[in-house]
Amino acid sequence: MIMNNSTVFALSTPVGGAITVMRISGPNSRALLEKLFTGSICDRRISFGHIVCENGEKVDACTAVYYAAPRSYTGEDMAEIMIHGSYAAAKKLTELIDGTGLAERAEPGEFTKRAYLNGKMDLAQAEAVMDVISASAERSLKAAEAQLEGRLSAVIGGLYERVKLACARMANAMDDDTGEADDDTAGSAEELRGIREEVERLADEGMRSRILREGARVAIIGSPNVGKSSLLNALLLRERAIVTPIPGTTRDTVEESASVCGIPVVFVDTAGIRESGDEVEMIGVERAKRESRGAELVLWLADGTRELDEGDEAILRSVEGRNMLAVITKADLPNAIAPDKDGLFRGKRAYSISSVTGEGLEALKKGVAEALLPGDGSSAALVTNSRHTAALTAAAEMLRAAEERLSDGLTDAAFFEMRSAMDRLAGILGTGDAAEELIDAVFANFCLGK
Amino acid sequence: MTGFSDEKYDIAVIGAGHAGCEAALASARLGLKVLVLCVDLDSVALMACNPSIGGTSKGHLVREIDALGGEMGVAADECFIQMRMLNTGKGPAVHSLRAQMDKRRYHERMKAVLERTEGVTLRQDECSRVLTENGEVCGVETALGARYACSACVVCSGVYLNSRVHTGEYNRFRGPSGLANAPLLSASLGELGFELRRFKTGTPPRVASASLDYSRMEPQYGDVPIPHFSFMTDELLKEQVPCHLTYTNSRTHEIIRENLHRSPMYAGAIRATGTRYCPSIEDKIVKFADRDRHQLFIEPEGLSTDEMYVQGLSTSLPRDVQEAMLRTIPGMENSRIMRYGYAIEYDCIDPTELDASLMSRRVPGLFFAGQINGSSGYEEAAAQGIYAGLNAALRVKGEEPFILGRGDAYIGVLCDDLTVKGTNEPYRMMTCRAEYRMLLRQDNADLRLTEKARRTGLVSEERYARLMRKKDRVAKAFSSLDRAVPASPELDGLLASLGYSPVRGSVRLDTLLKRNGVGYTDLMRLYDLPDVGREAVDEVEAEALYGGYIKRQEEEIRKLRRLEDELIPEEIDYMTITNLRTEARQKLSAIRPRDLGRASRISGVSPADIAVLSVYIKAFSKEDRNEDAR
Repeated sequence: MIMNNSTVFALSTPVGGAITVMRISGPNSRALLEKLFTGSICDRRISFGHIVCENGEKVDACTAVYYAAPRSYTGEDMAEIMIHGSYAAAKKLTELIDGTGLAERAEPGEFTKRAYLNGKMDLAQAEAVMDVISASAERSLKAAEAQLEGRLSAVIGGLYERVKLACARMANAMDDDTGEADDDTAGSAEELRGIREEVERLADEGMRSRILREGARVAIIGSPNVGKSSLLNALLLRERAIVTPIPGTTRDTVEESASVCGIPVVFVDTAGIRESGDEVEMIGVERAKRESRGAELVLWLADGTRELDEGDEAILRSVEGRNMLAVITKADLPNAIAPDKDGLFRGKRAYSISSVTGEGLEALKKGVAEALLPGDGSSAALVTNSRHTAALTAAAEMLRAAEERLSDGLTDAAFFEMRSAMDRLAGILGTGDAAEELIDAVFANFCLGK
Repeated sequence: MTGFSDEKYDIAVIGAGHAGCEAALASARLGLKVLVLCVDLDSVALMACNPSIGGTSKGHLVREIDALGGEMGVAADECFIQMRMLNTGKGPAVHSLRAQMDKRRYHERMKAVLERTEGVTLRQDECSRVLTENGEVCGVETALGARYACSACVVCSGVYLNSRVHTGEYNRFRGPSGLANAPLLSASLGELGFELRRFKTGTPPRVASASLDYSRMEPQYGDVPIPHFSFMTDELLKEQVPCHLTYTNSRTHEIIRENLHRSPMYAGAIRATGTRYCPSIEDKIVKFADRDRHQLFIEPEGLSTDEMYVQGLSTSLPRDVQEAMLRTIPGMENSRIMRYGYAIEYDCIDPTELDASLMSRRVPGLFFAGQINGSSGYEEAAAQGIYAGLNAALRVKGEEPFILGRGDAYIGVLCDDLTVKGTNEPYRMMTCRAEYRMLLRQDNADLRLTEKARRTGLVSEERYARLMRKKDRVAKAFSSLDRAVPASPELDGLLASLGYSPVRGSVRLDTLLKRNGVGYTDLMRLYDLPDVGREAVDEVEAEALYGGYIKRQEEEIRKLRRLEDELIPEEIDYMTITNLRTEARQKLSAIRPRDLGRASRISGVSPADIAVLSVYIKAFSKEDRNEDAR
């Protein structure tokens, strides 16, 4: 308590059981609970309530316990939140806690370490803790070795080398005094795009194998009154027999579960949020960005009865690069826009539907399934681990940002993104000092210096 | 140790190059009595290599030295003959200033400052021994037989220790440029237990300007208005001198290849380790065989000399080969060499023997700065010099050391890399070494460091007052930007000229600055914004453009600082901590990091080792407390 003024959190049970426990320890524990939990908070008493988003929407029903220091496992203020045992629920809660900025993710063994530091254990117990910490590192080391022999590390290793070389090229450009450095941004941009597409492909693969196991999130985005809620209702009505609403959801809840061609899908809609005033465009864009961030697939809705306006365009831009389908709504009314002869609209696979008549819904569902799991889905995936998938997804996003910065002439910012991507890939490989390796790569490949 | 016949000093500085000058000035400005020993007073602050200061990442170091109250930036602003901001098309974090110097003036200017500064005694003599008592520094002995008592000593011996120069088959134990070297101190350092290593560097030939045909080269001019290094400088007005660019070609490369066997590096006469950053032309030809040309940069050595420095052609090939290769180069067909290029090898220590303040853990009171630590470059040397000099002075005064971390400054990155990671070649600062480079920009060196350094006494009142004024201006600009403006044809015109689409409705002024290319002065023309001056504008634009990155990096630094706040007790015995892996135990025992942050950066120390160590430290301090209680 004297030394650790940070607040940390981690899932303390594996996801997949009936209940998942999120453990929080540190001075912000109570503040965090107050922010995210609607139930009453009294010391060491279980209470029932809901997890709520920043805007007050309820996400999940849960129970929570608060332990005031020093009467807790770690000796600090602590909280434990018991939520439903689904991947989506755990992920959402993790994102919400991250979003508050009140706590950071715990290191392995951190709760036990804190318990010792706060005098909740004696030295013998503490030594046992150190054993556990070093043993878990040993295990991950072994796991890393096993993976190193595999094809995955060969593929990621190859990508890592390419990112490293691209980084080295930029570092060389930044650190060259002579102005002679190979500052071929066109070449860099092309190479970057190539790397990014490969990283995206691997991330997709990881996502697919996770979708089969754990289901997928599909975000429904679009301008106000384009028909988002109607579509959601139509999708759910058609599947009424197999709809399983997440327990504890209320009428305000914006997430609904359904099975689409055998794939468990959580649809995320933005219903229930007021859309008015001058801020419509900004909110639309921001919401689209936020909702699509955690989604495996985005359904972008366009009102079939009118041409696209600025707001539609802005939303479309904000989800550029996502796995996406275009949905043209209100097919029962006179059409102003429609998919082209190849079934595309604005370059995206497109579906005309009517939530009123049900026209096109079956085709859309097949399209959703196909977009989530292209092909027959039977080919063995190289990327199966969700940690790897997350790292690859993040790396792809950074590489995309690097491309943009580079085209803006901001080499320093592009390099920053590239270095971050390099670290993500290094994290999968578990290799050594990326910083040193980069400098070696600069000198090995470029004639830098006077 | 007794029998000091001569004067007593607080601090002895060995060497008066770029590190020694800053070290001496920093400690004297803190009110201490400083002796500076130098083998040749005509080579104080000598630019033995190229006649320029700054450049990529080195320009950052100069700004930081200035922000701490150092001399290099002020001197460069006075003695420059050309100023040029590099990397302007690559984003504000890597803008770097480079200045061509009149090297003789720079030497005279720096020597004069040392002479004028109260507390500094400048003396030509060679330090032969560092004297210790109870393991700590108590004095120095010189070649002429003097024995001076002192409480701390800063060794800034540059490339002079036991140095040897090579040109072809010719070699002599000499310092750079035909100067005397310093052969005596190495043995004393060996006696004190330091393991010495051998590094090498080199220089190109200098040619007579009158023998060059500049019409066959490409001129490069200085910037106007003239940028400056020092935060104390207001405006520079001076006629600037151009440099020139030319290139080697396949004929040059052929001559070098044919004569490689005559190079002391390739013939095996030099075994020392050279720097990858500043390779000789021989190395470039061998390593990058596919390149059909290499750029050369012709730099004037000053206004009162005809000597021109041929940057890019560093070589230790024999005299006749140097002449032959120069004649193949456009514009240099009739060139006359005035000084031949040479390689120089010298003794240096392993900087992982030093603590975070650049003091030896082995001999308390003994500090090291500059090339003796395995670095290369004037700016790297000066940065370590001010840092070591300041910390030596604080130690003598009984105050806490002044520590800069990787999140504070390039100086922090430099000292951290040297003392924690060590180096196997002459170490050169590079932008890509500074992981927090979006924050550590050259425009904000004063905002990052001046206030922090103020408690040491090194920052003058005037410097501090300037900082406060700049801060006010930045704040004023930001508060005037904190508003929305309606769309207008003028604004759309500005955006269109930069390739942006028009705004709808209204837009915030600070948001407009996030678009690369939109400048504060552009907005000043359209809206009522205060004129806050160039320096504040640079700051405002960089902060606005990179706000998101800056926030991310500040968060990372906060995490790093938490680790760096966990100090490791000095008496810790790593070999007894059985939960640490063997490699970690060995590395930690050898480097003895100051804190958990530094420990975590040692190669071979894993995050699990750090977790174990952190628990152990707490256990250790608890036991300590218990014993005290008894």
